[in-house]
Amino acid sequence: MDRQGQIINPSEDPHLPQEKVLKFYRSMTLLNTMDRILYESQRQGRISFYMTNYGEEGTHVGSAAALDSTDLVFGQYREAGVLMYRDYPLELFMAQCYGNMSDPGKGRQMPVHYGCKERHFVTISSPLATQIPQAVGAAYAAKRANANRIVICYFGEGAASEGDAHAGFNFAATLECPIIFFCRNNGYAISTPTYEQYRGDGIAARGPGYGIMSIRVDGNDVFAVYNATKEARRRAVAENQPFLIEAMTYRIGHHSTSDDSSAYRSVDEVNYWDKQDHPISRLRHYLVSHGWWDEDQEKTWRKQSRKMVMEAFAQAERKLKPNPNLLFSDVYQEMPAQLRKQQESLAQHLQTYGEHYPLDHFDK
Amino acid sequence: MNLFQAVTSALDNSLAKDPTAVIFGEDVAFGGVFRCTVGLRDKYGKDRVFNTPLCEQGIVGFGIGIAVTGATAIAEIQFADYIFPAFDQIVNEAAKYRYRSGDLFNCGSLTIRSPWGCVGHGGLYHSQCPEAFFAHCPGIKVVIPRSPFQAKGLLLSCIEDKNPCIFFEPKILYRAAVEQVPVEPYTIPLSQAEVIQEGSDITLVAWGTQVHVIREVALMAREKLGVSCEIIDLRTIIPWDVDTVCKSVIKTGRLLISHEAPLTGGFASEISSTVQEECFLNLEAPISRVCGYDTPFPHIFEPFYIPDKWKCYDALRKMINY
Repeated sequence: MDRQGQIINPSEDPHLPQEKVLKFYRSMTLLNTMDRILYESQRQGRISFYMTNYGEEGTHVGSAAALDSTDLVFGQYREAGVLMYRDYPLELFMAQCYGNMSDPGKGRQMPVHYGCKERHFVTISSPLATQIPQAVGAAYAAKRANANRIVICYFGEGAASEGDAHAGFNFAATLECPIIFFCRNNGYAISTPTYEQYRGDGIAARGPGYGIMSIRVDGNDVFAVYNATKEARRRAVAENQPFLIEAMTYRIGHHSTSDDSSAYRSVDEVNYWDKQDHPISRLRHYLVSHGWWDEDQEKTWRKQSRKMVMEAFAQAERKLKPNPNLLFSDVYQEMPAQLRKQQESLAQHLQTYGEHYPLDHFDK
Repeated sequence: MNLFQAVTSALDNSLAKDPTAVIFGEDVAFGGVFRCTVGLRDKYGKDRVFNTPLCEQGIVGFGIGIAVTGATAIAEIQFADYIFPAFDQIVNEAAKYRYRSGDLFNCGSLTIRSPWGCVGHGGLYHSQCPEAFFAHCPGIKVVIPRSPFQAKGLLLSCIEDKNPCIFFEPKILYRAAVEQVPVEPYTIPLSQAEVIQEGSDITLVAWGTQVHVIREVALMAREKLGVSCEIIDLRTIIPWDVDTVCKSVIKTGRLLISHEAPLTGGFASEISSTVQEECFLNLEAPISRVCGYDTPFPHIFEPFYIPDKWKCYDALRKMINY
């Protein structure tokens, strides 16, 4: 698609059915709505931290749609749209951000560190690029299991500088793993622009150095992302080899709520991408020109999605946090004796000093 | 069997029993630089016993990924001295996988094996004992055997254990230690120290190769001083068996801990600190630690560096006379 949502080369039109394309659109916009509300909630002190996905929704949804639902996903932290596309409920996104007692992650991590076993989305961790060699190992195991399953591994162009990225690429190629490496090149690693991150031809150009077939796509064209991922998946399964997709996009939002990007880039630059090359706008143009969407539906959907998000948000806020005993479990599968002693000592401590702790917010 | 053969036997049992189990690392395919994986590739196939590129962070990261899918991953790091590039994957990832995901995901079926300890000529980078770095990391287990029989049972326990484990193999014992080892699988429990000799006057604690040193010291103590030593092989560094050690010190009143690794921040400091908390009133003398010096592991000076039986004996004598 071009920026007006017109297919440039008809032979590359994936001819997806209306329902599927509408699902793309709804996933991307619902994510956008959730991002706005949760970003605000951090500003208001309701959650401690948040990271938005503004501008990169196309990379998430286009790629997620091209996978099988059982393909294993290893992400970095800016791939919430993949979970959204896999129908992860708003309630659980919020539960993790609030660290409330509904959080399947048991409140252990900062916001946006989602994980979902049923949807095959491995829990996010903060250290960058660590997921890359792990994804390769998972792909190797999937190959051995003959499961007709691939692994997709997302990372940013900054994380691609880490040693773990080099390790992962090399292992995937030498050990012939059915994996898609998906690089979101969004222009910045916090404040570091790509010119200070690498001097070569981006991340796609590194692939051939490892013996990995690589492609660069317009990350804001959800159909291009879909096509590339679909073909990579087909071949990864058929040929047991890795593929590298570098999706060029732009991080419209700040790195996180701890960042004010006006300190290192101009508002004009951000507005350019927001107004001229946004994956959601481009898809909307496509939908409208096909008669699959209009102003009224847009208004209705905006209201409805906002309402859904606000409801989930209010509920998440009201819930208690998990019982403090959950501070101690899952370090090992079984609790070691010494740790149990520490757990007991906290319980005793709280009996005497409990008034100094926010126990009212926590589940008994 | 000698110790490396005991390791091979354990690996053979694992791959026979568990079709998901794979072994990988540098040079494991031809049998390994210490011959621990000899014959396994021919027996189980090249998709199950294979070389990886030369990259420890990759080896461990890759192993974590295999384990996340539920398959059994047995990774080899060629020397414990080279485990440090994988430190982030071990400490920040493997150890925390279950906890941070709220038990949605884990890499419990990962075991990392690595040759460990002084070997007579290893110098800085073929002699290290890095267990103390990992002792500080909740979520992993660290296990060190003293003999072939112990090695096979403990390694099989590590492989079966549902938590990521690091298994350090004393390389100096690979060929030197020989004993009867069952061919069939068996396990030795983790986090259980073993009292290998009972005594009444002083408790000696060590692990790996050093257990043999303190056994000699115990003989010397009995012959020269008439002192009765209780000898404990700690076996698992974390989570460690506090009860067995404390029970012993309550009985004897004296504790000497010895390890090759440098003194400061070495694991003896953790044992010492806990024992003085739990057994303060039972102690007849300060707890003694006989360890390597706070230097990198020297090459030509190894005979002076290591906490040998004379240094241990001397420390013991001082404790008895305190």
